[in-house]
Amino acid sequence: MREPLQQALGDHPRAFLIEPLDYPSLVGAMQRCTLLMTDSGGIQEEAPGLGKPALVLRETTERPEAIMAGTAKLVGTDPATVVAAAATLLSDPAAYQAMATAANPFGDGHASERIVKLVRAYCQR
Amino acid sequence: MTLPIRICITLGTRPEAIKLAPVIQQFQQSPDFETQVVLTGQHREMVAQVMDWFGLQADRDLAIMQAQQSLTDITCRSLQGLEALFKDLQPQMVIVQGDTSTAFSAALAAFYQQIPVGHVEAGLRTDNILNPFPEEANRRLISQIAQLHFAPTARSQQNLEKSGLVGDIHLTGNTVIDALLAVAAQSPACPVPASTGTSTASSSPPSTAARTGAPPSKTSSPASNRCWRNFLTRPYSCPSTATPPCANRSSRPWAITPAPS
Repeated sequence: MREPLQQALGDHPRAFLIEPLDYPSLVGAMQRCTLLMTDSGGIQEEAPGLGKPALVLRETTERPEAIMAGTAKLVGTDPATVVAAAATLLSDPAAYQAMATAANPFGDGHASERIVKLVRAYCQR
Repeated sequence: MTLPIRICITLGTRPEAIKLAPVIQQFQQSPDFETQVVLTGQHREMVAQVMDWFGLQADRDLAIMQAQQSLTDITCRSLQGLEALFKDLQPQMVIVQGDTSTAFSAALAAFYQQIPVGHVEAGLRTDNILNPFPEEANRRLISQIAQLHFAPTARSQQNLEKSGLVGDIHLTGNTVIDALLAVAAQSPACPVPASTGTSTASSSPPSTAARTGAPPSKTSSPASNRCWRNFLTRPYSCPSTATPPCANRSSRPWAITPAPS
């Protein structure tokens, strides 16, 4: 993968090919971004938790919740479509805010508490 | 005085570690539980990184993974290792996460001992049994065995409700958001070098793999490459993320209000 990518990117000063990040570094990178462009399922879940719009560079997704909630857009892999979607988010604050502040369909950060409560209730009944 | 409830949490891969770390923390913080964390040993190093970050330690490590092993090998070795372990630990519930082959094996091993299974992130479906393989089958098989199904979204809850399952289905949200917000609250360093003069990056050195290798190719670049290279030259301003939008957990709405349990 690296060779053709490197060739296409050339020496662009803002394009970096890096090794996989450990989880905290990945979160740190996502916190600093304006928007995420990804084919990863996990990042589609995490983007709304950080208030970042996600453009999904795939034709289908197993996580339609993000698309329906408006936190992610399925933009496929056609370069013109991808660029247009990204350009809209970067130039139109209303479009950006709509995605960045849409309700998170994946949770509120309290799932673990609910699970422990439910397990306790199950085991004590 | 009642004895604490014995819980066994099994995991083998990095995604399982990330999504179970906040669950393990919650169990360990409660005096009502005696929690055992069991690694199957599938992604040992990447699991250890996550466990370290969350300050967690494994109680047991099955170390079942070998080079070139088949799904049959993984399942057989997990089943045999976990049978002995569950007989020894006598958990009152086994918690598994997601759809890996070790999660399925752990659920089946618990079922053979008649230990109830709690399934975290239950109800994801593509409705194509071969895609993703073997995960779509693994999660469906776990759903058939589990007694507590923890659905991350309303959609996954609906998938479970129409599956004719035994046990109880609960909408809890996805624990990955718990893990994400815990990590984000620490404002972790970003190792990607900033080159735009809007540095928010840490002093970590850039990956040695970054921006090395082939020189720019001007002759072989197809139109599509030029298209997004032009995009990269657009003016750029780094957003202010000194305060992550998730710093206050209640600042982001959740689309779903789970029923009180």
